[in-house]
Amino acid sequence: MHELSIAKEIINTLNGLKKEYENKNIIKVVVQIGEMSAILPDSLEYNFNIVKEDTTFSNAKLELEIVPLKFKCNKCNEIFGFSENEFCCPKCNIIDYQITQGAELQIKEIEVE
Amino acid sequence: MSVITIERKILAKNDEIARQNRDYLKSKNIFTLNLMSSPGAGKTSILEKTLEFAQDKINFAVIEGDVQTDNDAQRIAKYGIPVIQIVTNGGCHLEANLVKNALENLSLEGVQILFIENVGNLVCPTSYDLGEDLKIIISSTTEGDDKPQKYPSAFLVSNVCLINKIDLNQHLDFNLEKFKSNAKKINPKIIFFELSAKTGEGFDGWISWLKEKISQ
Repeated sequence: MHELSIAKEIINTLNGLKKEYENKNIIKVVVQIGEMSAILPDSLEYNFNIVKEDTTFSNAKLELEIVPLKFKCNKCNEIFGFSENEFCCPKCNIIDYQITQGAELQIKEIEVE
Repeated sequence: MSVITIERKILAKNDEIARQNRDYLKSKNIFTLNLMSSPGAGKTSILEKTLEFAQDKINFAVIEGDVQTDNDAQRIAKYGIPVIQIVTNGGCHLEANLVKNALENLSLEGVQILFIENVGNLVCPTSYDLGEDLKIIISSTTEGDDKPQKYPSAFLVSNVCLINKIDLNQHLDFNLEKFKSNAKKINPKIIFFELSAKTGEGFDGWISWLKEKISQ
C-alpha cells in the first residue's frame, strides 16, 4: 500500500544521485526488494512509472530484483529459507535465527549515459 | 553508458530522521513505544485503559496517527495528558518526519513513556522506523488466530504482542494457544500480554512491564 511513497522516495534519491554524478542522464535504476520488505513489485513499478512523468527521469527504466528471505540458525549455522511462514531450522528443528537477507529495500545500481 | 553501484537504502532519509527522534527522546529519558495493529483491534481503547489504571504512577504522552479525524486525540485528551494528532490525509502509515514535527509541538516535560499510535494497518508501518525503542503489535481475538501467518512482517519486527478482547474469547473460535504458537514460530522472542480493554482484565501484567521498563 505504501508503494507510492517508496516510488517518490526513489525519485528523490535519483535527484540526489544525478547531482552526485555530474548531471549524467540516468537511464536505468536497479532496486532490490527483500521478500520481507512488504512491497508489491507490480505496484511499485506501476507507481514509479506514474511518478517519473514530469521529472527528468521520465525515460528511466526501473528494474526490480527480488531478494529471497534467508535465515541463519544460531545453533548450527545452517542457512535456510522461508517455508509456510515457519522460521524453523530444518536441521536442528529449533526457532532461533538471524535474518541474513530478505529485508532489503535499496537502490543497488544505476545506469547512466 | 556505464553502471554505477550505489547500494543505498531507499528509506535512508526516514531512517536518519528516526535516528534524530531516537536521540532526542533518549536525551529526555523517554521510553517510546510504536503501537501497530489492524483497524479496530483496540489501540486507543488500550491506551485509555492504561491511562485509567496507571496515569497516577507513570507520566504518559501520546501521538495519535490516523488517516482522518482527531477523534482519537480527543479521547486521550480527556485524561489531561500531552497528546497530539497526526492526520495523514490518506497516508497508510506514519513516517519519522511526521513524528519529528509532532514532537516539536508536544510538551514532553517530565514524560516517562510516549506511545505512538500508528495508522491501523499491519503492512506499511512495519517498514518505517519512527525512532521508537520498541514496536508493539496489538491483535484481537475477533481477528482470528492465523493473524501471525497472514502478516509475518508485523510479528517479526515486534517485541511485544498485546492480545486484546480476551473477554470475547468464549464466544469465538479463537484458539489462544494456537495464536501464540503461530506468532512464536515467526518470532520466538516475542512476549504476550492477554487483556481486555473493555473489562480491564490482564492490565496488571502489562502495566508492571511498563513500570519495569522505565525503571531500567
